[in-house]
Amino acid sequence: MKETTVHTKKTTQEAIKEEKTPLSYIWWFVKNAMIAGFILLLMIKILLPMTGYKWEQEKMVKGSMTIIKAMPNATLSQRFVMKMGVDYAFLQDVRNHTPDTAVILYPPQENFFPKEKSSAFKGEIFNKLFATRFLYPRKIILEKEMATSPYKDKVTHVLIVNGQGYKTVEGYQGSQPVENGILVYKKKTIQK
Amino acid sequence: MTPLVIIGLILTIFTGFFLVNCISTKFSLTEKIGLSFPIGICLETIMMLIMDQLNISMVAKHLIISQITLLVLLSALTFILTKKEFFASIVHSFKQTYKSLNLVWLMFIVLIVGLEYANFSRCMYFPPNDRDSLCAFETVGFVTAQEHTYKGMSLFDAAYYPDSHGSANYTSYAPMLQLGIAYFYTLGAESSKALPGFMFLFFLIAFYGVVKRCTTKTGAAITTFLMMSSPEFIGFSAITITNVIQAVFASLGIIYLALYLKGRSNKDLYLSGILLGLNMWCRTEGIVFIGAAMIILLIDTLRKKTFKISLICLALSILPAAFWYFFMIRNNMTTDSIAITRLFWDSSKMSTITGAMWGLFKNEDYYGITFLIFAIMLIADGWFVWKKKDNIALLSMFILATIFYCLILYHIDYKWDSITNVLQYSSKRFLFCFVPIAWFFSSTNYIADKALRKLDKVLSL
Repeated sequence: MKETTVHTKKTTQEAIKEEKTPLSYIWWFVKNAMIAGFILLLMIKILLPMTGYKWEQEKMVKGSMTIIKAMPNATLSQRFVMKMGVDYAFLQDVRNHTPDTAVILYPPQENFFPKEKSSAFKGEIFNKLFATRFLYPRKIILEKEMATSPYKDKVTHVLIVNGQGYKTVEGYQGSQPVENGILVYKKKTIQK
Repeated sequence: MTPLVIIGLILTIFTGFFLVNCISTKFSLTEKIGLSFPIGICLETIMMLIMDQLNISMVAKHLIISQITLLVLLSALTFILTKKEFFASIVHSFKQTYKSLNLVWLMFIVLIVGLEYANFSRCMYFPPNDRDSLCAFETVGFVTAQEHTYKGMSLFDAAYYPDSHGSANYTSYAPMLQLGIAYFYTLGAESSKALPGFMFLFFLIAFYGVVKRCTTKTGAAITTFLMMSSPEFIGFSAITITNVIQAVFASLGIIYLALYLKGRSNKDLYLSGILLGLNMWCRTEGIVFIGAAMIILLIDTLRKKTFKISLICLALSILPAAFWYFFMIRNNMTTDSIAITRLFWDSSKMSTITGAMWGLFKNEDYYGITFLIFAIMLIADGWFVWKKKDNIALLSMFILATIFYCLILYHIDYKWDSITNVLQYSSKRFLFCFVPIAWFFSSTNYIADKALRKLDKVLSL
């Protein structure tokens, strides 16, 4: 008896549920819109003023999308420059002025960032692995490795940064010292 | 994207999709799709390392052949194991998708899509440019693609790179990301950013799927949006480093183990084992999550006497790391250890670490409201946690993993950098794995689930 009552009750409820009038659709929409609006307002009032979410909204979403929309067809090189500035442009320049087989004597960190003057460089350009990413397959030898490196006798070029590094270039014959550039090692000619 | 990259992407997605189906066809379509790319790319990187060990050159032709072979094997296995169930499960999933929609769900889906569109766009647009990537993963992956070998790569030659075998050096980094990058470059991609981009995109789908299994569709959409908008988490998701990628595997591994302990479905246990194993394939510190998970599983195994399936899960979770260690030792790729292996007590060091970890959990700039909501939900659900053991396994693993993280930081010999620097700049990324777990708990605990079901009822037609 009880089971039958429950069953009938369920069937009636299901029937009511199935029977949807236009008004029930409108009510559903209004109710949904009100709750959705309330949740959205809550998020705008609570989350957006917080530093982390603010950064996300302004820098990550708006900032990046503005750049992407302004230059949708930028080349890979241009996009690297946007993020890495001089560091990338300089390494790209070195790449363009050296053969794939070049063995480059690479300056230490203090030459990139001398204490006595400001530097155009900003990132980890002094790091051998960092430089390898943009100069490969050229070999890179740091000054500190000159005694032990298997390439110590095969150096073909020397990198000059912030006007430092000439002591390693024998017989430099340029009209004036190069501030930043790549020179052919021991060959008394300037490639750039 | 070149045609070969698109073919590679499709093969990767299908490989992962069929592996999940091999475990069980009963996972929802959302879960299967979400897990397809993360698992697929890891399988391919494992294949790459096997090929390298067998001295097979990692050229595009070999990568595609290896992937097709893997795909054929997995799809055949799926059809043999599941027969008609496979197709029936997909049709069923499609039917389920369009039931009981509401505007709140729709609003959050639009928010998720919008935010992910912006995130994916910036990820794909800007090439890898951050320090950690260019001074390790990106360059190693790039050179691997040029030299078609990992073990024989010039960057691991100590004569050319004297630092390559030094403390905490890139040579011994878990290989997933580097090989994934190499995979995309070998196929002709101009940037490696497809890897973090697709990883995060598919993770969102998987996370939505797994949350939806435990609560309502609306709840899953809200949780996924709040989880993904955690500031540092989404910020780092577009960078070619391992932290967010590891978080994908570690968090899902822990969540699936919690689901197994709740629902006793073996499929969740096996998937958890695979995901936890892949978490350590991405970062060695993933051991903390395997450790936490295995302690909880051991307690459960002793009580329920489920030795066989637990052993399978344990084997799955340690196999990738075991293979990597075998590969490293065999090919002389080990580096100086940074771990202090003896027992010692340094109260000042420990308090520095615990203080920093506590500070991180409270940091709203990094993780937004993640841990605040987690704490509120923990208090609100406290009675059910205590009396009904609601989500107790998940919480225990969360706490154990945090303790293990502190212990690892404590046992590191900071000879390459200061402890202050590591805690200040690197450790914020350690908590990424906890972000999805915290949100999963916040939305699936007894109180939240009840509230979300009520909300769904109110919103339904």
